[in-house]
Amino acid sequence: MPYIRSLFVLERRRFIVSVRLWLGCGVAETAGSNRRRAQARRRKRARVRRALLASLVAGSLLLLGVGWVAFQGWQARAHLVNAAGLARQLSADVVGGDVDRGQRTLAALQEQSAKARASTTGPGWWLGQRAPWAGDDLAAVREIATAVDDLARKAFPSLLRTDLASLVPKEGRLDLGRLRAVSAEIGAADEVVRATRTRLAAVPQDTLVSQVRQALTDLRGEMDRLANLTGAARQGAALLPPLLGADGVRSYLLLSQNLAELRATGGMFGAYAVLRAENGQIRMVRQGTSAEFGRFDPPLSVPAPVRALWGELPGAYPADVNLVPDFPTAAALYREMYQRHTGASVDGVLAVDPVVLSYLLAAIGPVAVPGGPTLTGDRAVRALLSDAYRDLDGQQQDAYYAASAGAVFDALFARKVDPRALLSAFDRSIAERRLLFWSARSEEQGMLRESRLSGALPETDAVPTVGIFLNDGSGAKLGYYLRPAATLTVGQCRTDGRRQLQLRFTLRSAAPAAGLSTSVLGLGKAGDPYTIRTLISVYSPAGGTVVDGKLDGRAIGLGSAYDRRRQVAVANVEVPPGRTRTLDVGLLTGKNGAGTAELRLTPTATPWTTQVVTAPSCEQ
Amino acid sequence: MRLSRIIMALTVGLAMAAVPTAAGAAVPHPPPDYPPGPPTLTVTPATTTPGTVVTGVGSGFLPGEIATITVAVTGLPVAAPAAGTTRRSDGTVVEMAAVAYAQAPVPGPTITSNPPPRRFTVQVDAGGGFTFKYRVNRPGVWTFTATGNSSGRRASASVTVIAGPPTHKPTHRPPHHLPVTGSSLGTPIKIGGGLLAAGAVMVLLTMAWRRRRFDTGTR
Repeated sequence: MPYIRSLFVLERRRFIVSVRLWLGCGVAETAGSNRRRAQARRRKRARVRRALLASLVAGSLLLLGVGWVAFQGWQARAHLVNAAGLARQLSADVVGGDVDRGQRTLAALQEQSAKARASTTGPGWWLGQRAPWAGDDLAAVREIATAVDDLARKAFPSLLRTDLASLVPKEGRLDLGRLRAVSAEIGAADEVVRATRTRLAAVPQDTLVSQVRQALTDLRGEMDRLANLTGAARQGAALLPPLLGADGVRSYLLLSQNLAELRATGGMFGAYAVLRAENGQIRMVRQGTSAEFGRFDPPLSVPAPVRALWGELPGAYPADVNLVPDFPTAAALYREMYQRHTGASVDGVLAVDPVVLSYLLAAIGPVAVPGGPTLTGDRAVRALLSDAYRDLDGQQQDAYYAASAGAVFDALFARKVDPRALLSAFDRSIAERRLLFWSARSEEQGMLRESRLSGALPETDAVPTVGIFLNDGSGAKLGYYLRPAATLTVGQCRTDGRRQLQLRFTLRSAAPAAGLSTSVLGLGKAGDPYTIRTLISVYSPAGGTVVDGKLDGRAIGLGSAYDRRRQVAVANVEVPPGRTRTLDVGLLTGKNGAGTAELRLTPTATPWTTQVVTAPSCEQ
Repeated sequence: MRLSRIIMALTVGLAMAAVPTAAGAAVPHPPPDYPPGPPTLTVTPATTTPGTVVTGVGSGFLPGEIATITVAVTGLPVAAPAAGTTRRSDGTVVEMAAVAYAQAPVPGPTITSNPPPRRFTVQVDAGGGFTFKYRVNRPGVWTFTATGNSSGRRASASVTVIAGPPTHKPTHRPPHHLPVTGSSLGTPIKIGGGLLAAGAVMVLLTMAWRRRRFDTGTR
């Protein structure tokens, strides 16, 4: 303490000392000059005192102001944290279908967001935003509070009003009037979300303090997800009425992918049904099998990359249109074949597989099939892909498949089903690329193209994506017994901006070594009828390449071509019963140093086992 | 007389030229079954650097026939294309220059000339297979298409040739970076600390002022 005190009185001490010295040296001084000096000293002291007082007052005011703004910021932060928690609660309420609770959560959320917004308005905050150092941070916090409040007041209420039940059929039809109302609500919410996202995107973030920047980045990520969701919902709600025949009758092919005989998009298109949609009512008007079409000679023209990979097969046989993983290509070929064979045209193609059927059955309950066992959610895949081949002959199989498709379809439209369970069954099927749709109308297909429902293989990747697609080469129905697994490891960075990827694919056969019927064993193209021959197409990431391949450690030649800016390598893998074969494929990404990668796979009857081993990005 | 002889010679020549084609068309080959077969032409490695000799292996051709191999080179696909610039990969964009090439004996030709020929023939062996070696001399996508002259069977395979050293960047790590640490308490601590410091300064100022008054009072 004395030191500090001495610091403050230092100047005065020096002055006193100097005066004393001067006094000591001086001999004669008049009384008058002494008085003047004393007066001057007092005046000076008074000036110093005034200045000190003024700066003290100013400093206190400034500190008070800063403190007030900081306090408000602190409050805003607390409100925003509360709002974030409530938003999570709200989304859980909506998904859980608890509308009353959702309304209460929304009211609380609106209160919190309004308080956060109020905390960031007022003269103090306004001045603070113009301050040199913290101004941009305060402006960013204000933008965040405004964005959250806008969402809470304008977007969430209309999303909460959306009646999920209007999206599923009731008494055999969808209520198109209600669907249109929902579409308008979702459209309005989507507008708000988009506007908010644009505003947030415009906030500069380079000079922000880390906490505010992190909050802004997180919110932007959430907004992107929300905008994707509302955008997709808006598109779906707008597309559904015309697709369901609101503006005229529509007809579609419903294809069943037979996962017992694998094709790149899932399974061979073995059977079809024709659906007619009129004013929201859907009826199944006709059923048939692909075998009726026979072989097309001369074959239909196919895109050059498809021909380079598979020759004329996709244009010659309806069973081969989906040797390539791009569903729009396959659907267009199948539609053309159907048209050439029957003379009738359809507006689009919908594909499902037995796993989709099992998800639907779990939602709608067991369905009795005339002439066969009752289908249930947990036994449908086995019943359709294994038992039917074991117990029934060729014609009985066709009849059983047609009957089960018809029975499930009728149950889906006639029963009173929990809309949320049904929607989540559809959602899961779409996410696993087991439910695919292609519209022959280019404007509708253009809207669908980005969604997973389209099954399209894009020409660009957001994240380097390696595709592994399986095609049966034995002409058998043994796909049910295959157990595929894949590990993709992100490897070293290269000087040219590409990155190495290493794929290890293993295929195990759980097939028995004896006792299967000829309708399962089929053509037995691999020689031994119990050995499953599978042609593995490995697609490089967009702009990338396939380097080499090894089967069980030995280098093998790979068939190769380019499809959608991806190099494609085809390897023949033949697995005897109970054995596992390992295919190692080296790949390069395009010029993309990202440390992550993704896999896109043929959906199979037994789910894949997959793993992606990531690495730090090349820039780090 | 002279003209008619020329015409006759031309006719005979054309007829002779047409015979192999007609013969090729006449050889009946059954339509393929619907299950897809293993690849009938492979070229390894699938991705390499300029100057490498790649190996082509064909199978499933007619034993003893001649297969013509055409080579087309297109640019490398890039990762982020501009809209509407889809590159074709079937080789049709590149003109194929016919280069006379001597028929090579089994096990097949090794082609290392520079520039390499864009068309050559190979002899298919008794098992319906053939091999060839070929030096790829510049970056791009090299598409080899083999066509059986008698059977009409076709197969193609693509090799990507990438320029530049395949060497890897040395895994370079910055010398010693302190880990970036942080917590959400940072800002409150800073604000609190600032306020505390400001308070301390104010207290000191007051004390100094009072002390000075005391000093003045005693002197």
